[in-house]
Amino acid sequence: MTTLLNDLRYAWRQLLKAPGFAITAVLTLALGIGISAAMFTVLDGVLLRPLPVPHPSRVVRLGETNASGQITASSLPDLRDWRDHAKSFQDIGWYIEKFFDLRNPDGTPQFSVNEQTSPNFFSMLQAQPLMGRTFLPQAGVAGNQGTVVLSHFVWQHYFHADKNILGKQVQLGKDSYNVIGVMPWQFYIPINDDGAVVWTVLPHTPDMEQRNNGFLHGIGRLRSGVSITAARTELSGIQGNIARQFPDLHLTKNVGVQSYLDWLVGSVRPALLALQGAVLLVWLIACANIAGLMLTRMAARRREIAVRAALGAARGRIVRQFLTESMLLGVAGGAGGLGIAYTCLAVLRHSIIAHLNRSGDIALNWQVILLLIVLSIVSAVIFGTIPAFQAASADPQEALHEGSRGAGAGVEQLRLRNALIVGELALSLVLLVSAGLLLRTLYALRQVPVGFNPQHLVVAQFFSRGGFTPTAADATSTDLRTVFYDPLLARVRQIPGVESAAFVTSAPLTNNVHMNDEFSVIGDPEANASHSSVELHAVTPGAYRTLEVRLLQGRRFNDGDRIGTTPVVIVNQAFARQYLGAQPLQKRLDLDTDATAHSILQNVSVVGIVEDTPDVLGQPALPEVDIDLNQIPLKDDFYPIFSLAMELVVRTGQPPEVILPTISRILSERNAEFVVNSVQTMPQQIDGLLGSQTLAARLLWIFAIAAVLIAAAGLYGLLSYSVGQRTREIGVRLALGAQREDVLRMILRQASRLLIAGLVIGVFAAYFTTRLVRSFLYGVAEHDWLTIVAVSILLVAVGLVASYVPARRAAKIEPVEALRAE
Amino acid sequence: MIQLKNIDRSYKLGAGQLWVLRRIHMDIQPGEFVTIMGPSGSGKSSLLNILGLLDDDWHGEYWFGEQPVHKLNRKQRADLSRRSIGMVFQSYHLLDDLTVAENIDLPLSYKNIPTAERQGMVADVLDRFRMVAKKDLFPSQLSGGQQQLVGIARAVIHKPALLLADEPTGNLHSVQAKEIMELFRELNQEGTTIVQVTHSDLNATYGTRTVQLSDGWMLSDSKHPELQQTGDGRA
Repeated sequence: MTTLLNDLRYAWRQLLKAPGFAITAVLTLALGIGISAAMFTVLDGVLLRPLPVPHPSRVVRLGETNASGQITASSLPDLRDWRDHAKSFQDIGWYIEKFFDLRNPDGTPQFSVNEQTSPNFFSMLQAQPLMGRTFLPQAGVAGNQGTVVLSHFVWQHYFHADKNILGKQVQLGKDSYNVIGVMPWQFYIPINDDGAVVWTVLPHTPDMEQRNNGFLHGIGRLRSGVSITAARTELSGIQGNIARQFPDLHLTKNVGVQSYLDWLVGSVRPALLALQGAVLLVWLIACANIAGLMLTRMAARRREIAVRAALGAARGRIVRQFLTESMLLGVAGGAGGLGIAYTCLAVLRHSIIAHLNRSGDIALNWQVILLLIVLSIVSAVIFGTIPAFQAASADPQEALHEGSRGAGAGVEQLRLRNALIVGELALSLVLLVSAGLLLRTLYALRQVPVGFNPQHLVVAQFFSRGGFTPTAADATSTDLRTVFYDPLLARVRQIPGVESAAFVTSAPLTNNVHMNDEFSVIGDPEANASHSSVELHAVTPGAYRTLEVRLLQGRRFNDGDRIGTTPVVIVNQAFARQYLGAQPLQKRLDLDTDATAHSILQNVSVVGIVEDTPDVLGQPALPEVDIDLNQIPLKDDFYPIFSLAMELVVRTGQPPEVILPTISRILSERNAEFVVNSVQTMPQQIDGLLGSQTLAARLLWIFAIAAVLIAAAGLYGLLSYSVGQRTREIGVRLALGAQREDVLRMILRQASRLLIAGLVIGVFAAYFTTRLVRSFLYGVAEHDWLTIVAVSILLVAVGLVASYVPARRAAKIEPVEALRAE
Repeated sequence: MIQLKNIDRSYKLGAGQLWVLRRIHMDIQPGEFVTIMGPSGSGKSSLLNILGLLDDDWHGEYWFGEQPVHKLNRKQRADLSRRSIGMVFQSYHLLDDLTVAENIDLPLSYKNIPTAERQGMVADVLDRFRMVAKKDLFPSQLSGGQQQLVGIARAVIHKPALLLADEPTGNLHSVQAKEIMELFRELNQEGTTIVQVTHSDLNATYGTRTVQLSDGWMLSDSKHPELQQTGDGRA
C-alpha cells in the first residue's frame, strides 16, 4: 500500500514536472473519450436501441403509395382485406392521429395526441403495459369503446403518477373514458415527440367503409422469416385484385411496406452511419496521439529508467511505476471526457430533438462511457508500459552511454512517431473534407431557386381540433370560412407591418398536408392515358402575392371567384408542361374522377400558370394544381379540406420575427377550434428542412475540429519533444552562426514535411471516403477540389500554429546553455 | 585584435549572485595562441563563451578589432561571430545526422555563399585535413580524434580571424591529442589567432601565452608577468 502511495505520489510529481505532456495527454484522452461517448450515445439512442416490443425488426408500416412512392393513408376496407388475406403478416392494425384536450384531475385542459387505433393494435405489437391492460382484440370496436390507455408521460405529468389511476374516468375532448392501462416510458408507437399521447379504439362510422376514403395509417407485424420485399409483393398482388374489383374507384395498385424502425430514424440513418465512421476516426486519431505521446515520454525517460535499473530496480517495479502514471492520466482524461460528452450532448440536443423522433431516449449511456474510459486507459497503459518494459529490459550501461550523448529515442521510434502524426493529420483531413462538403451542400441548398420569396414571410401551421373528419359538412354545419378563416385573416391583416396574408393547405417547403388527387384533362384522352395523381393544394386569394410566387400566364385567383361562379384552378409549370400541352389556359380538368362524387371540381377551368415551388429543397417540383378555397361550397366533397391542417402565410415589411408573437396570440385566442402546431418564419422553416444535412454537418464539424485539435496537439507534442531532443544540435548550429530565423525555419520545415505527408495521404483517402457522404451532397461534386484545397489550407494553418510554439522555443535556445547542458 | 576591459559575469543564485568572472582585463594581438588555464569552476569556459559571443549577459567592454561588442545588439554580434570566429568543442558537437562533408559545410550554409563555391571550400578543407575518403561517413563511424578533426575543419572552413577551442583534446588519447595540437600550431603559424581552454600543461606548451584563472579572477598572464594577484583575486 505504501509502495502504491509512493508510486502515486511520484507519478503525480512526474506529471507536474512535465505539464505540457500531461495537459496534452489528458486533453487528447478527454476529447477522444468525450466526443466518442457523445456520439455513441446518440447512435445508441437512435439506431442501436430497438423498438420496445418483441422482434422489432418485424414491425412495419404499410399503405398505398403515391406518385413519388411514399406510403400514404389507406382505407379501412383495404386494410381489412390485407389483414384477412396476406400470409406474410402475423397481424395488421391501423391508427389515426387526432388532437384533443385531456382534462387532468384539476379540470385543466392539456393538449394531447389521441392515437385512435384498431382493437388489435397492442396485441399485434405484442406490447405489454406497465399497469393494467391494453385493448381486447377479440372484443372488436364495440367491446373496447370508452376505454383509454395512457402513455407514461401523460400518467406522470397529467395525473402525477397516480397509482390508482386504473378504472378512473378521464375527459378526452367531449367524451369520458375509462383508464384501463398505462404504457411503459419507452413505448412511443406510433410516434410521439413530447410523449403526451393516449390510445383509444377508433370508433366506427359508416363513411369509413368507402374504399376511396384513405385516412388510416397501416402498421403490421411480419411473420418470422418473411422479407419486406415479399410482404410488399403479396400486398400489391392483393391490392391489384381489389383495384380490378372496383375499377371505377381508380384505386392505387401499389402498396408500400417499410421497416418501422427505418421510418422512425428516417433520413438521418445514413448520416448517423457516416458519423459512426467519424467516431471511429476520431477515436483512432486520439489513440495514435496517445501512443505517440507515450512513446515520446518513454524515450525522454530512457536514461532515468536506465539509472533506476542500474541501481537495482526490478523490471516489474519500473513497469508498475509507469503503469501508475498512465492510469493517472487515463483517469484524468476520463473525467475530462465526461465533461466534454455532457457539453456536446447539451449543444447538440436542440438539433437532435428537432430531427429525431426518438431523441427523448438520448441521455449519456454509462456503459458506453465506461467502455470508452477503459479503452482509453488500456491504450494509455499499453503505449506507456511497453516502451517502459523494453527500456527496463535493455542493458543500462548502453542506455547510460547513449544518454551521455544526449540521444533520446532511437531512429525507429522517431519514425513511428512521425508516422503516427502523419496518420493523424491524414485522418483529420478526411473528416475535414467530408465536413467541408456538407457545408458547401448547405450553402448550395440555400441558393437553390425556390420559386417564391422566403424572406419576410411567416408561416403558422394549425390543426383542427379532433382532426380530419372525412365527411362533408351537413346542412346544419357552420361554414368554417365565416366563423374562423375570414375573421382570422381580417385580424392578421390589421397587424402593423403586415402587407398581405392568406391561407394555404401547404406552403412551399413546409411539407404540411399532401393531398394527392386523381384527375383527368377533360376532352384530352391522350393526356389521360398516363392517368396519374397530382399534388392538390388549396389556397385563398392573395396566396401568390403573399408568397411572391411569379405568375407566368393567365391570372391569379381574385375576389370574383366565389361559390357559384365558374370553378377555376391555377397550375404550376410542371403540371402545364406535363399534361396541358399547347394553349394550357383553354383546358379544363376533372379533379374528382370518382363517379359517385359530388363536387364542383369535376369541371374546372385552368386560368393561370405559376412558377414551380418545390416541396423538397434541391428536387424538382411535382405537378401541382391549386384550387380556390373560396369556391368550395359547404356540401362539396372537398369541403373537409377546411378541417385539415392549414397554414397561414403572412408577408410583412418588418423583420418577420417582430410579428411572430402577435400572430401566435391571435391564433391562440381561437384555440377552441384549432390547435396551433407552429408559428415560425420561413427562413426558420428552411433551417428545419435542412435538418439532416445541418445535423450531419454540425456533428461532422465537431468531429473534424476535435480531430484537428488532437492532431495539432500531437504535432505540437512531437515538435516540442523534438526541440527538446535537438537542444544540443540547435545550440551547435547557433554557435556555428545559424540565425534564430534559421532555427525557426528548420523546425517549421520539419512540421511542414509531416503536414504535407499527412495532406497527401489524407487527400488520397478522402477520395475514397467521401462516397460515404455522397447521399447528403447537393450542388457540390463528391471530389470537390475547392473544398479539398480550403480544408487543406485550414489544416496546414492549424498545424503551423501548433508548430510555431516549439519552433519559437527552439529559436530562443541559448547556445551557451545548450552546450553546457551537454 | 581583442580587448577586454573590466568584464564581469555572474548568475543569479537565490537572493544573491554567483560570480564566475570578475574584472577581467585582457588584450589579444593578432597571431597570438593564448591558453587559458585554471581549475574547474575558475571561469575558463565562461570567458571563452564571452570571447565567442555565445554569451550576451556580461558587463564591461569588449572590443573586437575596431568594433565595440558591448554596444552591438544581438544580431550584430551574431553577424560578427559568423564572420570572424570559429569554435572547437571538447565533445566535438558534430551533428549526428549529417555526413563529414555536410558537417564541415554547416557554417558556410549560414552565409550567403553560392553552393558551388561552398563545395569547393569543403573539398579544399577535406583535402587539407586528409579526410577526403571519409567525407560521406557519419560522425558515429569516426574515431574521437577524427571527429575532432572534423570539428576543427568545420571551425576553420570560413577562415575565421579568431579560433576558440574549449578543451579540444579532452576526450582524446595522447596520440590523437598530439595530432590535434600540431594542427592548431600549424593553423596559428598560418596566421589564425587561437584561444584555447585546457587543463593540460602539455597542450599549453603549444601556445604562445598562458592566462591562469581562479574563482573568476585572472591570477596570472605569461605576457604580463607583473600581473600577480593575491589569493582572494585582488592585485
